[in-house]
Amino acid sequence: MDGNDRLSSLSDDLLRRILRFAPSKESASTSVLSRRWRSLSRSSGAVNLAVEAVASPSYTAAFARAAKAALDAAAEAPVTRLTLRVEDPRGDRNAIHEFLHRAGDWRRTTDVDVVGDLLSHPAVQRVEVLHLALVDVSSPTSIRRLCETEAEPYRGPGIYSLVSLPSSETLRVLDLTRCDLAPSSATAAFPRLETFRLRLCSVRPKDLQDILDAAPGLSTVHLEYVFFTLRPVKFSKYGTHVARIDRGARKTAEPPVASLSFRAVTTLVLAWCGKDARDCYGKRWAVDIDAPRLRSLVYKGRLRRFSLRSPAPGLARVDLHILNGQDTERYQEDKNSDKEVVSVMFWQFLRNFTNARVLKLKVNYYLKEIAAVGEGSGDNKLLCAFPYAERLELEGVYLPTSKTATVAIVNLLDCCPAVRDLVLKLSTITPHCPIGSSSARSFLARQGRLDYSKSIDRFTRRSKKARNATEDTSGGAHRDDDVPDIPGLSGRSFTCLESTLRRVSLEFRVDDESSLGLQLVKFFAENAMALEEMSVDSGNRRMYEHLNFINVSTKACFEHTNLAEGLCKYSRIPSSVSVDSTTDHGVTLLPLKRRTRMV
Amino acid sequence: MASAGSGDEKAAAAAMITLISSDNEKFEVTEATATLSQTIRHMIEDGCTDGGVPLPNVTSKILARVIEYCKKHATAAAGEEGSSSSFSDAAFLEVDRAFLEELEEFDDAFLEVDRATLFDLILAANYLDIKGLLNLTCQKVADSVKGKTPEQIREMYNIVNDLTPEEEAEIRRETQWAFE
Repeated sequence: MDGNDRLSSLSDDLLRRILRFAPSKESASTSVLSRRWRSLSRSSGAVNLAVEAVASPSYTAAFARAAKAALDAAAEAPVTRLTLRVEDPRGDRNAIHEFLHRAGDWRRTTDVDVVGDLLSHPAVQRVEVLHLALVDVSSPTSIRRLCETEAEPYRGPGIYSLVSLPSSETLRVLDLTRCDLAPSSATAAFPRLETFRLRLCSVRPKDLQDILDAAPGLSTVHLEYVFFTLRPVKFSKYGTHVARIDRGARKTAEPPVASLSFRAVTTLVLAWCGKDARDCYGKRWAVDIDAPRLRSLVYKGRLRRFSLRSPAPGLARVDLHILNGQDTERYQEDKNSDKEVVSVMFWQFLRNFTNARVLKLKVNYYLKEIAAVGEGSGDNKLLCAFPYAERLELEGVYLPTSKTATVAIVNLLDCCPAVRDLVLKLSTITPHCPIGSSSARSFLARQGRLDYSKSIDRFTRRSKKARNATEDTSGGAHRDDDVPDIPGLSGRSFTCLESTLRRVSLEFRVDDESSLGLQLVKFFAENAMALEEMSVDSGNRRMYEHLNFINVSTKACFEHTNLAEGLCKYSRIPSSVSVDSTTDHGVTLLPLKRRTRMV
Repeated sequence: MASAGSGDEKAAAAAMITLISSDNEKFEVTEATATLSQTIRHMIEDGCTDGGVPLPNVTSKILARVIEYCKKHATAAAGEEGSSSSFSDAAFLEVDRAFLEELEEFDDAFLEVDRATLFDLILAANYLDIKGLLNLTCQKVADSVKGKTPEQIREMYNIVNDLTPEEEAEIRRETQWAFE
């Protein structure tokens, strides 16, 4: 096998680079491979420790010895990369804790600090990349479940409390999983810190702020499943919380605010963050962020009060995934003083991002809930303009019977006068059921197949009629009467439809004759004057019968013949046009052959 | 699907660079895509990309893969650039930078190649100085030795052991912790 030998043909530098990513044990063992390999691993500048947690003091002692030996051996080049990954395959977080803190033999065990000892080793004092991950292997599943049930966990998830960080002078990347930051951990400056990632940690905003303030060059911050300790928690001697405020005080109290300042940060991810819910405020809390240089923001979590304290003129990409959790929060508030209905909170949230060029919204709400309804009333003051938005993506759920769902789409089209790309992903599954779960998906697929066979059946019966209809279109104009107009949408004029909208992508399921998706296909085909491309994924391939497409080959071509009158026809696609339409359940209308506007 | 195609269309308007593989195949790419390579970035800065950039060390097969990687990652790099002018239409719409998970999925799928291709990608990434691709591919090779004994690694990569038994014994003593 010729190709297999190629490893030896790489330069020493490349081999060292490869060894930087190898686990320390294997890396060190490569020194016996051959003469050439003898010293490579010692000069790779990296120590990667991975271990399965076994709650046995002698096992811990052996690991600590090996870890020290690995660091001692790496003395030839300064260690710039240090990773420690402690995994517990049985999903018992106590095992990791025990593993990290008890060492000894059958005679005697002592309290140790495996992580602390590692970080204080002289060889790592110039470390640039530090990954510490304590992984309870059950967590991915339980985390996914948390996402699907849309409940934010509220218990501090950290297993280890990190007291001090090494080499603050050289640190560039700091990545911590399940390590809480103890208050004293950020006494030093981090002049070179660029990337900071916290996952499954709990932290007081103040302590986090200390690190942020000490890192003037910090550009990327990921906070995932980070739990903010927003108020001091009091415990009784039995360990249950005793902080109680009488009902009156609870009604009027403002929710606690996680207030953070990210001076130089350009990319911020706030995903599934929560707060320690052991105080009396339940899950309510607000976010207040100061990030003047922010360019990209990802927020995943509940709808909550969110404010950007100072303008972020460069904030171009905003990706929001809003969980449906408002009801629980509202329940805990006084109903009378609570004006924070979903749509108000949603639009107040969006108002922070009026500079966005790309706006990606995924809401686990019925679309009608985020619609700013009520013409002329104060409600429409809610809306705000996104004058620079070029791409708008909305993913949400609607009730087939709801007329208000379109209002949300109308709102957004109104607000984005310059949008070029529009992506709408609509579904009718309830937002309370785990949308991403496999069961929901397989159900959809099953439904889709059933619908498809029914559709084929109907199609064969209707094909004659369809052919007649096509011949009509060759006369110039044909209005498709199968699809009714959309209340609230048709007849309205939108700036983006007049000039900027080039591409529309629609994903929906055809459920009934009045399917919103089909109406939207028709609406955009008729009203988007600059449309070049429309791709439609109807989930179950039933749209042909509604739109009178003649060709079952999922290829069709729209031709605007007289755009001024907003008429369009559907015709068979010329065989010469190649269309990439390999998906078995979608149709891509590509390209929209536009004729020059002839009056 | 649609957005990938549209990215290419849009790219036509942006500045294009021609890359020429060792077997003389030409690849047109946007500047945003090409400048993921520090080597090419420097050439652009020095203004010596007219008439195409010859890459005598990279075959068309490998270059196509490298370009595939760069296209996908182009926006991420553009975002880190720090200048708002880098938000050109093409780069902007090509990839949704916020979707890091999607990028990870792409990377995983991208690495599903045979070993010879993987080494070629390492060499190309090193030559073109594409840090992300270099780290990604090196990580993949590093993962392949996980849990392997030296004997297994030697066999896997046809490494000839030229150490004397005494030397090997000595090294094993020095790094005994690694063999426990």
